[in-house]
Amino acid sequence: MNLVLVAIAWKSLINRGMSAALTILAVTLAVTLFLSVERIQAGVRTSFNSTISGTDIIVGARGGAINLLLYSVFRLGDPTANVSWESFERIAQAPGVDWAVPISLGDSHRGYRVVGTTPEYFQRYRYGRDLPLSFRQGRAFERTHEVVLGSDVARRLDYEIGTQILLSHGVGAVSFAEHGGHDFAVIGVLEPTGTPVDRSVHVSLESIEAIHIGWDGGIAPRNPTIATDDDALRPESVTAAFIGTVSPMRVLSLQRQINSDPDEALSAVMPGVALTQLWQIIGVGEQAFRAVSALVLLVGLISILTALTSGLNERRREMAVLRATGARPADVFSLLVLEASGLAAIGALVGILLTQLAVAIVASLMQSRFGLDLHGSPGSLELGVFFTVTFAGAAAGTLPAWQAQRNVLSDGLTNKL
Amino acid sequence: MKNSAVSISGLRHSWPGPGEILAIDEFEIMRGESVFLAGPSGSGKSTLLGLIAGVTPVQTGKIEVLDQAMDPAKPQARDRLRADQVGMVFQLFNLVPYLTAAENVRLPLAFSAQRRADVSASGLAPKDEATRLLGALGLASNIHDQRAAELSVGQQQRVAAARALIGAPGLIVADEPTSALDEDSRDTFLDLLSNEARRNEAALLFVSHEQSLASRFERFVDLQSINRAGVPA
Ligand SMILES: Nc1ncnc2c1ncn2[C@@H]1O[C@H](COP(=O)(O)OP(=O)(O)OP(=O)(O)O)[C@@H](O)[C@H]1O
Ligand SMILES: [Mg+2]
Repeated sequence: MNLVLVAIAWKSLINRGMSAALTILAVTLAVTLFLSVERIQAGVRTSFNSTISGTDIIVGARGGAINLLLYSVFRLGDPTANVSWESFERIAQAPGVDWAVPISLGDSHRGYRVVGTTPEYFQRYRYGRDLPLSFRQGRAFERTHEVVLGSDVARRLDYEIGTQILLSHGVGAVSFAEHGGHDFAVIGVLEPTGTPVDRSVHVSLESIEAIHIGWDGGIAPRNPTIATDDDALRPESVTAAFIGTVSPMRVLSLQRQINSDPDEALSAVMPGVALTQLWQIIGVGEQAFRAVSALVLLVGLISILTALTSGLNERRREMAVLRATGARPADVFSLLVLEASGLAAIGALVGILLTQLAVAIVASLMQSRFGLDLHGSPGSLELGVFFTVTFAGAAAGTLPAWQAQRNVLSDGLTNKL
Repeated sequence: MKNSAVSISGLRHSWPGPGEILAIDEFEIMRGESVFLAGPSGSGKSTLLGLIAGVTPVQTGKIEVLDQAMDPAKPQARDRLRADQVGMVFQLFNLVPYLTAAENVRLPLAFSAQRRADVSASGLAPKDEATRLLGALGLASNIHDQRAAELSVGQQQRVAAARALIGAPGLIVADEPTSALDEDSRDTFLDLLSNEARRNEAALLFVSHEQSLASRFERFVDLQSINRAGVPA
């Protein structure tokens, strides 16, 4: 490659300032859009896949892995059956189990699910890159009738420490039966996590028992009793349990053991595996997004072709001059291809930098608000985009280049314009 | 080795529209010779220069430049020969508008190793040789780094002449390079061009319909006297 041609191509681009700048802008915007979509999708995927982390196994009644994941982690849908307290304790004491946190679902507060659990939940539940839950205000519940709110619940309903609330039986948005007589006091509010925890209302297992004393099916008791005796409030069953093992090598055998429990029909799933399965179902929109942004990229490249082709006629003379000074048709061809790849490369580079800048600006907001992790330095994706766009730009340039080379041969060196 | 810069024999050329334009049996320009070629408009002067410079392929006959054939079957060889041996100046629009005067002058060096070698043999860097030529053609140094598009027509023609001369090609062809100039700048331009061509021992083929300029050249040729085309037998 003739270095002088590179210099000429560069000067030619600078000379066409505005029109070159607009073409570069088109490529830049296309690349920025493409990379942003990729970034956000990667962020969504990772944050989805780490909705729950640090938990090795989730145990629930026998059923599908995705269903178990949906109700235990995403608080969507309902379990088919419960796990008896005996089974829970048996599993909690099984060899290899490090910790076990039960959860009990079925109630709600103004559309937000109530999670009955143990205070250990706040230490064991992890999300993202092993991030623990932390309290923005207050503390974990220590006795019955205390409630810890996820950040969304507190924000949307405008609750703060000390607010008194009632829980509802069932999970409908407009619930029909309230657990009257059981005033709960907000004792803690969690920091945002970007996970369903933000939309959960946490109480102790004993609280769940307490508010259900005297209930018969869906019918509320005439005279609600308020028991605080610990023995009376021991649950008979829980909805599911999060399990941590002492070593990752125990996970598979423990899972097999739970799945084949002789006393109760249980399912044990590894949240990572189930999350991946779930993503395969709901992640299809990803492809559509990618297709659209790839199309935009294509439009950006076509703008290179348009810009160069439309400039060709007024550059006929310039090409003839180059020919007269000894340039071969191949040199004229390379000049235009160089210009095209130059436009593409600059556009891609600026686009990559712009995306980095945008990410740097919004990343911490996205992290705190939506739990989206967009951080990351440019890597193989950016490198790949840079070379693909530059190469595709060069390819788009071959069309006007071919045209220019043909002109140059038929125009000769005439003085005509 | 013959001593000719251009040697034409049995040349015939027709264009699709007007038909046969050129029919030249023998025509020769010696090395270092300066020739004034005259002829009415449309008589085929530019066509002949295009054939000599190897831009238009020869249809019938033979053209040699510095003893090498402008072979119609070998476009790349013609490009090479032109890059190495032919410097060209046109009537107008000689320059690449977004390059500076000095960059325009250096342009042929990018495409010809032979002309690069010639410049380095002179002991000057390409930049300095361009500066020297521009100076010799009467262009003040503050103009050298100006973009070609910003120069006056007279300045542009001198830059074009300097470019034709750089690297000492054996043949300079000039197609009405002065017709856009006023009388004074035309005379200066002609003096400078022929002086530099003589210094380089380059042959100069100068086309113009202004016959008053002919006295400055060693030889005067009327195209119609060597061209049988269009002449009723
Ligand atoms: N590329 C071409 N294709 C077709 N016809 C051409 C082409 N170039 C020149 N001609 C025709 O050939 C004839 C001679 O043209 P040419 O330019 O060689 O004349 P000229 O002597 O240089 O005239 P002038 O003094 O006006 O420059 C004209 O009739 C012209 O129309
Ligand atoms: Mg002419």
